[in-house]
Amino acid sequence: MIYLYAVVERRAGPPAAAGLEDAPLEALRLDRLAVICSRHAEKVFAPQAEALWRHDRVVEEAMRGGPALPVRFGTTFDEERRALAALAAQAPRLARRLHEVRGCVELAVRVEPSSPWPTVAARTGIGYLGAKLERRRAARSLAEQALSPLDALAVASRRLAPSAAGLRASYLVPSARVERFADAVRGLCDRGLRVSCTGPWPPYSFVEDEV
Amino acid sequence: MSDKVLIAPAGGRPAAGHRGELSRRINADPESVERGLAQLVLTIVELLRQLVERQALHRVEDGTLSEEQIERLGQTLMLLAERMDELKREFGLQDSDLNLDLGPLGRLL
Amino acid sequence: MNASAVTVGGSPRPAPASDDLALIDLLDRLLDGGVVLAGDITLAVADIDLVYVGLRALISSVGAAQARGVRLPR
Repeated sequence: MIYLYAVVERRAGPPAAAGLEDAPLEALRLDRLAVICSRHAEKVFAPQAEALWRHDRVVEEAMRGGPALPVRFGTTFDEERRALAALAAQAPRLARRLHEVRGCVELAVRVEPSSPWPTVAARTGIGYLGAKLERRRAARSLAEQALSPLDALAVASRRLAPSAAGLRASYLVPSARVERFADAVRGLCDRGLRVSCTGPWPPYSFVEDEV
Repeated sequence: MSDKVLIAPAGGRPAAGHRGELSRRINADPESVERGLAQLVLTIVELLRQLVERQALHRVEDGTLSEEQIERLGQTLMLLAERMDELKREFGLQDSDLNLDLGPLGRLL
Repeated sequence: MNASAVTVGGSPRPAPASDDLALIDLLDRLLDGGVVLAGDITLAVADIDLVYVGLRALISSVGAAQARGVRLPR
């Protein structure tokens, strides 16, 4: 079974790192692309911390040699032939994406209001849900307004589905601009908002088309 | 790996923090056992209540519910929220108590 | 890729520990992001993972499915 980590531009060899279960890495080539992978006995992988970090580490090592598109966790093929066929089916799109993410990293930002909302008091069911909806919209609008200056510093941005806590966004940022971006995020902290920022990450959120 | 955290929100707890608390509560006297179990049960109920409420809001926004359905759903959720408040008061639990620590997966709520 | 953590003003909601913050952001991205090739995505989910991954799948899949116009059973 072949486990896939990342799609890269054709290169001399795989990154100098170990894959899941410490398996050696390989680079399967197709025209101008290659996919970084490792081979395993028939098995499934649990999305536990260690495996996730290992997958991420492989992608980051791959990024040292040029742009890399991370593959979704848990992607396997039972034959090399099938993996390459799947790659071929998307080759033009992947080549474009590689060009778009060249020299960039992803930064993850979360924003939520810092004070809790007062309890909703209502007399009717419609009133209750209406008040909750309004509250949610207000919170999101606040967070969106706060995030808008970040768009100017990023090559691209995507919103992830809102979580219970608040808004989550991903930003594609040139590596050289990360510190400036982080400073801009810190600036958001003064506005009655709780903010977090993690990264730099490989460009997970910028490889598939937006739904 | 915390070297990935560029900016953290305030109120961060140490990595090895409350994990022992729940089990410590359960291991004490009968009253604490009852309270510890209540904490567990109410946390799950609160989680489900929030999930259902979130889905309900989604459906209301989608416009896929009739006014009567929205009213019924809203009433149910409102009563559920009130009942949860009562239960929390009965067992002396705060909102911050209803936040199961799942280790590396963070808090449930 | 060095980093520093900045903490600001008080808040009533307990925040995740640094390790958790990074892992949650990574989880969101590795499971929902990345290139989707026509392979088999097989995940083994056990114990506590099931709660988080299952809930995420429940919440995000419903939303994503609806966005794609998929009709879900009532």
